[in-house]
Amino acid sequence: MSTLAAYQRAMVSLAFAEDDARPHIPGFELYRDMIRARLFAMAKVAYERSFDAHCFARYLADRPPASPFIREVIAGFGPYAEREASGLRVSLLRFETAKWQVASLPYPASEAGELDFEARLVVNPTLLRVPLEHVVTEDERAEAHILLVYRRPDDHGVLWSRLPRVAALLADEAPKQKLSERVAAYFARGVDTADEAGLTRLADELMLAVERGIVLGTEL
Amino acid sequence: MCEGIGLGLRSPIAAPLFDGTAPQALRWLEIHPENYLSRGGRYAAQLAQARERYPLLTHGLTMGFGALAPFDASYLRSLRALLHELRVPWHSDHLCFAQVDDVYLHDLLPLPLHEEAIALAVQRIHEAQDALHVPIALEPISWYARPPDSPLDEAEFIGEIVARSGAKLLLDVNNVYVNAMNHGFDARGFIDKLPLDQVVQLHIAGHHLRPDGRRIDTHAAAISDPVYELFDYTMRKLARPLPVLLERDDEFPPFAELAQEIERLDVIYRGALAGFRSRAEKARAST
Repeated sequence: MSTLAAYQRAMVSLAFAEDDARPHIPGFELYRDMIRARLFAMAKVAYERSFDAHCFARYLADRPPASPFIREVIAGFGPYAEREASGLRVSLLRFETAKWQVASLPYPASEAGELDFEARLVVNPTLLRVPLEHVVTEDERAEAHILLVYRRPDDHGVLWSRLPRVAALLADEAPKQKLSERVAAYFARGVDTADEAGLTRLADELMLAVERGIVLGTEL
Repeated sequence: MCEGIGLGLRSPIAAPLFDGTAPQALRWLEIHPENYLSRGGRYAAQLAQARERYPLLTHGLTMGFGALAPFDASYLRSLRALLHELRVPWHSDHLCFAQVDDVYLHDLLPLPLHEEAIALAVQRIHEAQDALHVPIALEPISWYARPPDSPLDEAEFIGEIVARSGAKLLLDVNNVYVNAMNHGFDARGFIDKLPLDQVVQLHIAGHHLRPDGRRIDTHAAAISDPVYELFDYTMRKLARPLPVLLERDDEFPPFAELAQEIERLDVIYRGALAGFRSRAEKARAST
């Protein structure tokens, strides 16, 4: 290994090794401080409720940044931290990771018309379905559910909604199915009673999902 | 053509850039492609607004022409598409390393000032130009520790890379000042030694003075008076129109304060050019 390679690799250890394993390179300590300060500051913003400095230090040491996009480095912290988290913290990490990711997802243009049972659903392209074990948006009670996290095209803020029936309707990852086939699969899974009342409940929630920009309609 | 005073597009100061309150002296904007590639939301919207109202230049943060690791092919593809879309006259990034193997440091680390680093930088500049299909402008960085095995003088090191690669130069006046103060050399003498005919763009920013006397290039403070003076000196040496960027990345003041900085830079810029034009006209008249 050339001295240039050795020098450059030493800087990686200097920047990302945990405190007790960092090499001492006279004069270069400032670089460790600057690199880490930037990453820690951004992670604290992204994970405002679930940030843990010790865990983030372990993350940097175990998984040094592998993306030229700093936002992707930050997004990797949630899944990493989840491995050693439990209870409410798991849900908070998932929620905050989703919010961070959705804020930056591209929003490709898609055409959608009014809901037609014989056409395919068009879902918001930024929509993430986040499985949580605790409620994170109101109180913090234990309750397994899917949170829908998304962004509207004209609204750069990240939004979220529970809508359990719509979450279940979208659960099977079968985008090629017509809406009628998705609805049949939804009732076949026993999510709700397969009767007029059940259908009404689903239809009401589906309309709410359209109003909120979670479901854009069906393909034209 | 992009010339005069520009500002880095950053979310916290985006609104006044688009609502008509920006000063007349503001002529163009610079973007970091890393903030916009494969990204939607607020950033994509701001880029669209910026494109409607201002000429744009691009300034990367991760290519590091002194890194041993190969360029990220996917990043280069996306970057090339963006540069082509924006029709930039060049793309700038730093004379440093910011990546080691598959790890990104997300900061600008100094290169040893030696022949191996020169050869590496020249090779990577050629690779980048071939991949991106635009000229590369090289920005020498501010540095806080001299890497081991650095027998060369920094200006000589930069000049050699520029000469061998044909790269253009993005000269950051604040970097020169910070380095000069931290490492005890003459800032004007350093600028005099650079290949100024290759300079296509200037950067200028504020820095932080630590209690231990070290200056840190934070882009988070107002430009200091000695840096304005060095900018005036540099402009008079260059004596030609070119884009000058005010960099502000953190600790954003009320926009009116940035506007004052832009106007002060513009006065210096126009003053330097007026002197040059007046001398040029006199020379023409006398012949």
